[in-house]
Amino acid sequence: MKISLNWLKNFIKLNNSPEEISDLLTEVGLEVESIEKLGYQKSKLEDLVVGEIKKIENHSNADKLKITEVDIGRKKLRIICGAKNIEKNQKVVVAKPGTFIYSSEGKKVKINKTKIRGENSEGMLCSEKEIGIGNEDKGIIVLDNNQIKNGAKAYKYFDFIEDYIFDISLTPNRADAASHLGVARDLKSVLNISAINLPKDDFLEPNSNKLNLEVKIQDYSACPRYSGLLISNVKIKDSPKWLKNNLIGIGLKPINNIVDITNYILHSFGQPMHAFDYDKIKSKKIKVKFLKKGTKFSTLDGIERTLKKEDLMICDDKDPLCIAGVMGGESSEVKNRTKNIFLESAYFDSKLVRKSSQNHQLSTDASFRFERGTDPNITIYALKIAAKMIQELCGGKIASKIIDIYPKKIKNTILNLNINRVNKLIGLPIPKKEIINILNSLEINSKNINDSLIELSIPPYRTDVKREADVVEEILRVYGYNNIKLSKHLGSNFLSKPSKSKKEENFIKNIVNLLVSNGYYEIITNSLTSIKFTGNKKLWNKNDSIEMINKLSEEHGVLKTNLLFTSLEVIRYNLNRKQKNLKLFELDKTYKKEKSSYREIKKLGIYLVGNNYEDHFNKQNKKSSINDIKDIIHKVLQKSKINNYHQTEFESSFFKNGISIKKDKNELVKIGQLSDEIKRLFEITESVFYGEINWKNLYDNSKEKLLYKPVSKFPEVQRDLSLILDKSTKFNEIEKVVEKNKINTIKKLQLYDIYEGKNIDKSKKAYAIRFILQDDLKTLDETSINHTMETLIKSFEKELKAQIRK
Amino acid sequence: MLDLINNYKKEIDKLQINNASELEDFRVKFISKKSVINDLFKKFKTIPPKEKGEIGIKINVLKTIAKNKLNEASCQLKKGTVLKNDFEDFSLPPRTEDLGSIHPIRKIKNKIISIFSEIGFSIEDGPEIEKDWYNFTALNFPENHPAREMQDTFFVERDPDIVLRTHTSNVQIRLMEEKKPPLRVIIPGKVYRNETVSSKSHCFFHQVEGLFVNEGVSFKDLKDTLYYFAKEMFGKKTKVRFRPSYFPFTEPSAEMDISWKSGWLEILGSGMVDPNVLENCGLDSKKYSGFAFGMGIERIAMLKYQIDDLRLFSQNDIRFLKQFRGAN
Repeated sequence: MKISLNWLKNFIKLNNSPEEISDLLTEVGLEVESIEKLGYQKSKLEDLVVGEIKKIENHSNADKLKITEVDIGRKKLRIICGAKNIEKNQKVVVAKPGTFIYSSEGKKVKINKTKIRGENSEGMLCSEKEIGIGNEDKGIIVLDNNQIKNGAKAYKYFDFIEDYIFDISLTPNRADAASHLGVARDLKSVLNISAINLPKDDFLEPNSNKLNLEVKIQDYSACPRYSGLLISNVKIKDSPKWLKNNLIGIGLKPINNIVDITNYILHSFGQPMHAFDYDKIKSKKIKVKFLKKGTKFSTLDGIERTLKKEDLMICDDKDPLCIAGVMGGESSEVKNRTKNIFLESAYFDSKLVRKSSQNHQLSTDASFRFERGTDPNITIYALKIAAKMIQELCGGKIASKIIDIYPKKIKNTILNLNINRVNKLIGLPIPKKEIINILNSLEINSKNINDSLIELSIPPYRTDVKREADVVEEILRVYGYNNIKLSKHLGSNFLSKPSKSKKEENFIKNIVNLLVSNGYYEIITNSLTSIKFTGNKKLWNKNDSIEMINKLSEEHGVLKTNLLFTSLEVIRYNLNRKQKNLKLFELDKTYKKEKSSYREIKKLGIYLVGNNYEDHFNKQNKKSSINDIKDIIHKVLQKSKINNYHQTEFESSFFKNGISIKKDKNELVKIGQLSDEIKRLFEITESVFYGEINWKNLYDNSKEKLLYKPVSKFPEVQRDLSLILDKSTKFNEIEKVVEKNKINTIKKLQLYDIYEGKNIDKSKKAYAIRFILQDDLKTLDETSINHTMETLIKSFEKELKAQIRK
Repeated sequence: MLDLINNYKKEIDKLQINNASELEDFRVKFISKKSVINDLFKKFKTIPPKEKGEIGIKINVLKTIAKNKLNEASCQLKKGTVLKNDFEDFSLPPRTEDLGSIHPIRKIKNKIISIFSEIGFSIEDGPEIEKDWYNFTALNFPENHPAREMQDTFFVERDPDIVLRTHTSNVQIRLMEEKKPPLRVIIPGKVYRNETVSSKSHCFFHQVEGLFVNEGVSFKDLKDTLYYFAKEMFGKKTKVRFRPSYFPFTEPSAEMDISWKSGWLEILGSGMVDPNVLENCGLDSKKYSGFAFGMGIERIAMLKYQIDDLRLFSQNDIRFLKQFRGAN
């Protein structure tokens, strides 16, 4: 909402700088987003001088150009000019050769001596637009004061007013401040100024009606008040410059004198008005009512609209003329030939106006105010001021008595305010007297009931002040939020105990730090992902997914059912930018529809692409493999105190080969190399290894207590064995064989080398395994170690057909 | 004899030992059995007992000086040979690509959590797919009210509406319905707005909500708490400003700005929990009062790290992420 400083000054005396006013408004709750200065900057006009046209001759080579001789005091200049409005003896604005001019479009131009169509020209006669003081470009500026000395600085004689425009971000509750008067009221309050200067509504109401109009309201709750007036013999023309400037200043386009006056009234007092062409109201009956659903109606903007049954309409008996509070119709629009008008100043139910505005996606300055709530008791005042202006500026005559249908006056809200409770809520004792003064300055009157209780009377235009809490805000706003002193020490009478979420948050921190220390980068991707994946039945169960009804784009249309797709987009993004070695993780929710409920399931995804390390002399790098992702997953499980788990293999369209890690029956992790099918969707050719942790199962299993077990006093022994096995033999089969033997001195198996190739049959491989042995009760002797190893070897030979490599 | 000692001392001081043969010469002359110092000890036996005290000390000092000189020179020479034959380059670069990073959004979230944890706030969580009641109605957004238009909402179902929450404030209602005051919590989480993605707006971002409800909680408590937060988050020298604003679920409402460059920048919205909201949750608004606040994590991250494009957070360019390895 734009507010002009000069306009405000019509209502209130202000000596503060625009910046001070901006701060005051922001502090009182009318946040100023920007201040724009209107008018010219003197420094840019400093070099322009007043000249007098002494001679005008035709240009020999151009019909439209004239050669003028212009007296600028000390000398005369020969200037070629194309403007149609030049005449001899005019006082004009001259840019001499060597000076700069700054146009309205912001261009800076240097004026030089030039030749135009073969004739010398020594400067320029300027239009408003050319020197950036207005938008007039049809002719040059003519100063209408003949007493000005030639050669004087021209800017001193411009008929142009300096102004500042505040762009206020008006919160939806402050309907009362949606006008210059409203903003002035707040300033009056914070500046402690005694009164607002309202223009006088000394209006002579005629004794009889020259024109007649009957008004009927169907539903008083929809239209609690309807006021109006008929004015005859108006002359439609352009508004005077001051009115135009006022409207242009706040971003409105002047249309004609009648429309401009209604806009001026709206922005002055917040009362929207509508002018109808009286002669177009055929029945001479205005009815405010609802029409049948589906009725067609063309609004002023030329759009034909289909009405809904809740659209309140102003009607010419049966035919629609105007959507109440929103926009008028084409049929009764005030046009150049309009002679007689009906001026409407009404109070409509805010919810209805809002509905109509939404129904027709039509937001106007009028609907903006009506839907927030206007002042029901200002309609007549606004009408009178408008009528006075129309008489003055459009030559109209008042042709009727004031029409005012207001069966049930809307009265002030009466509220008892408990001063003690107010101060308790604020946390600071503000003296009763000060509270009363503040409220009075806001036009909220008070009556003493007892020491701690006052009765307030709040005007209806304060739609946001109905309860004690609302009054507290009013008191604080004016008292100043920033005048509440901070306590010396922060304190509270209640400190919360750690919650479940807080404990989980600590666990998250541990896991995140572990991953980061291992070279993984955390990514955060959008939960809303592209709906293009939902079409692929193999990858996406459409019945599971949660799609937005009103999505703005296909790209962000559905909640992700897995972490993978958005992360693959990140991987592709980085691969395309030559970032080839990627270690990433994301902890996020996935979303699923289940019958009638929605589930949000947290998962931790870990991704590996490219080499496991950068090339570096101090560490061997190699292509990442499934084993690297298993390593990091194992660390996560260790950190979560999950040391016993088992793994199985599974098949899925997502993975080339999938591994599932479970504890008891709960799946903790899925690991695998992504299938080509998935990668093709994302145009990725590199191998991608993926681990997906079911967060809830991980967290639930992480709560085991950490307990110390005594360390054995007796030394460890190690024995290495190299087993030649069929390629299809799995390591966990070796583990099973060891387990079967139930030798409790075997503490650990360490697979330290895998060999295939020379000296070994093509169908075989060699696993080099280190056995760590230890007895908790005594030092192991050579005999028992050898016995253990021989037992193992025999089992390996028997059960796995292993050969021992010597 | 004293003169002799002094002369030897001067000679040792001046002497430069540059190689192994010079070192050997020095050893023979001053340290060996046939050395001049040994000669001095022999002569020492012949001098009168009265002088023995002083001269004895001096010879011993001389001997120490000579020994030190020998040790020092031999060390120097050894070092020289090592450098020449077995050079080690200590300027080799360490591995720099082995540390990952926490996403800047989590970094800021953790910082906010830790500030509020220190002053007795706990953490709560809640759903993102939410019923109209929790996201709007119970928060005092009347049906058909302009306030609903302040936020563009994604709808999952209509009539009755199920939405993607537009703020973390839904959890306020859930908590107040479930638990009785006192409540003192923050609620971090993801929120959604149906907006076009640009450098300044996004359809998905993160918020931290705060709520304190008890008997006698005041506006001054709110201001105290949030000023403390701002100074902890942005530094002790940061100027903070409170100004009136409007949110349907708080009354009075306030926005907090911090000084930024030459002006002010809004960082959070807050206020006293509206009595209607308390009553909607079954709490007696005459007995209880409370404050609530909410802030956007992206916005704070943009300020702290001077990031000018909202989209960078969900783009996850590894060259962007690498810059957040540091602890803060």
